[in-house]
Amino acid sequence: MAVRIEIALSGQTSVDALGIPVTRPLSGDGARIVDEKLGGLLRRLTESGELRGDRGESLLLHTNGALETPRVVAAGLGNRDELDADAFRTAGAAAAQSLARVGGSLLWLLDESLPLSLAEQASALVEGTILGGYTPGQWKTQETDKRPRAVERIVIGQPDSPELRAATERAALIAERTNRARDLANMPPNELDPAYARRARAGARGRARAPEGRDPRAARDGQARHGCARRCRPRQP
Amino acid sequence: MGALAAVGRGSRNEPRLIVLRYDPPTVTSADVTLGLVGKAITFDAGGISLKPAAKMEDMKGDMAGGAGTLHGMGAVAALKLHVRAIAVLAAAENLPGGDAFRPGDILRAANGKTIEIVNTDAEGRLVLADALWYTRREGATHILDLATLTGAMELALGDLYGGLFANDDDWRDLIVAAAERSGDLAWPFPLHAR
Repeated sequence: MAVRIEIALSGQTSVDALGIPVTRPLSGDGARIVDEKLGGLLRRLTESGELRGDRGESLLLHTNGALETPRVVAAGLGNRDELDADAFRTAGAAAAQSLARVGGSLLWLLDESLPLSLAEQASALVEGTILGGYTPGQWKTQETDKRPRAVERIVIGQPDSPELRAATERAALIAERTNRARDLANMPPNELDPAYARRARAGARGRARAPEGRDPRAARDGQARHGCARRCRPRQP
Repeated sequence: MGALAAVGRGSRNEPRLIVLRYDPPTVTSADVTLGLVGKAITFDAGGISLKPAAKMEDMKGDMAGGAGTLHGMGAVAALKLHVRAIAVLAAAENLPGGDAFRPGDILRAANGKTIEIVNTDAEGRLVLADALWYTRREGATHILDLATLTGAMELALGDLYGGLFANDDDWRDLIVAAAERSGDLAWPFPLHAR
C-alpha cells in the first residue's frame, strides 16, 4: 500500500494525530505552541519525567478538544546537541508504533532551530514512520482488524516547496521498497520458491524491463539461454 | 553455471538466475553500469551438511539479499536514476535429497574454475560466484552484492552493522558513506589478495 505524502500547514488539513519531535531539553516552536494549547501538559509531563525526549521514546496523548487534532504523539529525538538523521528516523518509527491501533494520518511538526535542515528532518521522519509502521501481520492473522495499522497519510507541516516535496517523496519511495523487501523475507518458503520471477516482474512493473528467468543448468560455459518461461514448473501445493 | 545449478539440485523447485535491466534514456556516465547482485536462497536447510533443527525456520530469510536487490532495482527505476543498471538474483533452495550435491563433489563454476565441496552449507559463495560472473559478463562496471553470508558475520558485528568486503577503495568508501546516510550501517573488513 502506497503511503500518501502531503505538505501542508497544520491549519490547512485534518489529521488523526499531530507528531512533535521532542528534544532533551524540550524546545522548539511546535512543542511550545502545542504545550500552550494543551494548558502546559507537555511541560508538566517533562517535569514529572513521563516525557524525557529520549531517542526512541514516544508518548501518545489525547487532546480532548483542546486541539483540532484528536491526538498528539510526542516522539523523542534525544539530546539536542547530538541530533542526526537517525534520531528523526527513530522518532518516526516510535510514533508509528504508538499509533498502531489508530493508523490513519499523521502531521509532523518540524523545528527550524534544530541543526538538520527541514528537508532532512522531513525525509527522515517519513522514512521512520513508514519503516516503523511495518508489520508482518499478514502472516500472523487473517483477521485484519487485529493487525497493527500503519499510518496511511503523512503530512509535513510546512509551506509546500519543491525541495521538501522531492526529499519526502524520495524517502517514502525508498522506505516502501524496503518494506516490500521485508515482505518477501517474511514470506513462508512454501510460497516463495526460486521461481521468484513473478515477484520480480511485479516489482519492476511498468518501470524496469521485465526480468529474464534463466535456467542455470542451461547456462554452463557462458552459454546462458532464456529458459524460465518454458521450464518453470507449476508450484507444488 | 555449475555452482548455482548444484546448490539447487536437492530441491524439486529448480534454481533460477533472475535478471532485471534498467536502461534509462539518458545516463550521467556512459561507461558506468551498476550491477546489483543478490543471494536468494529461498530456504537453506544446509543440504547434505544439514543444519541443526533449532531456528531452522529462520532460514527462509536466506533470500534477504535477493529481496533487497530486487526492490533496490525497483527504487533505481522508480527514481529514474540516470545510470544503467543490471540486477541479478541467484535463487535456489538448498535441501538434502537424492539428487543433492555432496561434500566431496567437484563443481565447475561459470568462469571455468573448479570447486571442491567440503560443506554443502557454504552454498552462498557458490551461487554468488556464478551470479557475479554473469553480472560482469553483462557489462557491470561497479557491483554491489548483498547477501546473508555466514553466521560468523553476525557474531562479529551483531545486528547493527553489515560486514563489507571490497576490492576497490573508492567504491567501498562510496558505499560506506551511503550506508551512513541511510542508517543501514556497513563495516569494512580487510580483503587481502592472498
